[in-house]
Amino acid sequence: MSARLSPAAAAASADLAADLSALDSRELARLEAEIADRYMGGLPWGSIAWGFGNLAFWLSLWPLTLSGLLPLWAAFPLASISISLSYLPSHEAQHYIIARPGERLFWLNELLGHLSTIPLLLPYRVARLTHYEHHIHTNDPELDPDIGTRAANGWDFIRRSIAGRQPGARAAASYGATLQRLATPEAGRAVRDALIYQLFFLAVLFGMAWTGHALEAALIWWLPRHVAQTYIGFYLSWAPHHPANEAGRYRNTRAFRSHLGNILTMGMQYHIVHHLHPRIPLMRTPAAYWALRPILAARGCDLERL
Amino acid sequence: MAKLILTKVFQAMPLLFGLGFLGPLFGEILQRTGLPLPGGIPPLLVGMAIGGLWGAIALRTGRWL
Repeated sequence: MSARLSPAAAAASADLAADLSALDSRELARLEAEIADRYMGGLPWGSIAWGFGNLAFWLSLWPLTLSGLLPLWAAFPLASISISLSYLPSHEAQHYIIARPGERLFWLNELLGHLSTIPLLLPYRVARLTHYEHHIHTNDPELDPDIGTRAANGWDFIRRSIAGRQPGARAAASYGATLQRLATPEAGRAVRDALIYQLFFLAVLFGMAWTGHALEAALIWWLPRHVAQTYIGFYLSWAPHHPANEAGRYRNTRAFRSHLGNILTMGMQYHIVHHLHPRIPLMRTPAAYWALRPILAARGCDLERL
Repeated sequence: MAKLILTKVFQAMPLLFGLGFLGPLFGEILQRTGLPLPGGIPPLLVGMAIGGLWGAIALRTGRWL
């Protein structure tokens, strides 16, 4: 943070319980950036280990189940949890949190981004391009690729989420439509990746089904992926953006309190911090939230009991 | 040409998925449950009939459920 804080802002930074009403909008912005800056940087080893470890865990379910070492009834919930956990490490990579282009560990950033979402069948390029569009156009009915997760309540989200995965659903085509709208060479590569992923997925499912392993394919990949898509959509998209009808930096995302707590909601109670400062690593967003909370309150953010 | 073929394949995907995956899946489920089938019909055949029919309905209506 290069801009110097005013004495009032410096005092507020030192004591976050201080009354921020004396600060004007520019000073609040400087203070917010200064605090956020403290939580950026460094290598998020937790997310790196999570991404690669989780992929290895999911891959290990195949030989363990096919060899009879792990019963299918146990493989299904384990696979559902694993695939649900597969998105966030890639999300860190999408925002270049491990390393930026040109930095020494950029290859690690890209490797993590590409590999961690394989079980979810979400190509890294598709994820990154559409996620950036989500950040730029959050809650825009026409331009936000994730607007399809808008729903009146949690049950309505689940109903819409299932409906959105039907062959003729508009929501099912929203990422493809976003890539078509972008019409860049990178978007073209993302479409190609999505095609390859889909064909590979179908080849595995069909191949396993016709060699007598349809149940294994269904319970390690096909159904767990549906469970994961619902879970991820609920906590990463619906809950933090609900009611998803406002635009603007401080109103398009909210903080919320879940009975499931921070870990089971995958840190999404504090998703507002991610939208404001996307380069803060996931595991630091709770601390960053509490440090920034007085400023967020002063900005009129929806912090619903958190 | 490749684009046209892929477009046609993905347009017909519900039916292909019903026959290529759901059919054998239902067949396996029937086999494992040991449900008696009339006339000794092979479970795979029944599974294919269910999967194919469901896929055809999904192709026509645009909905699995």
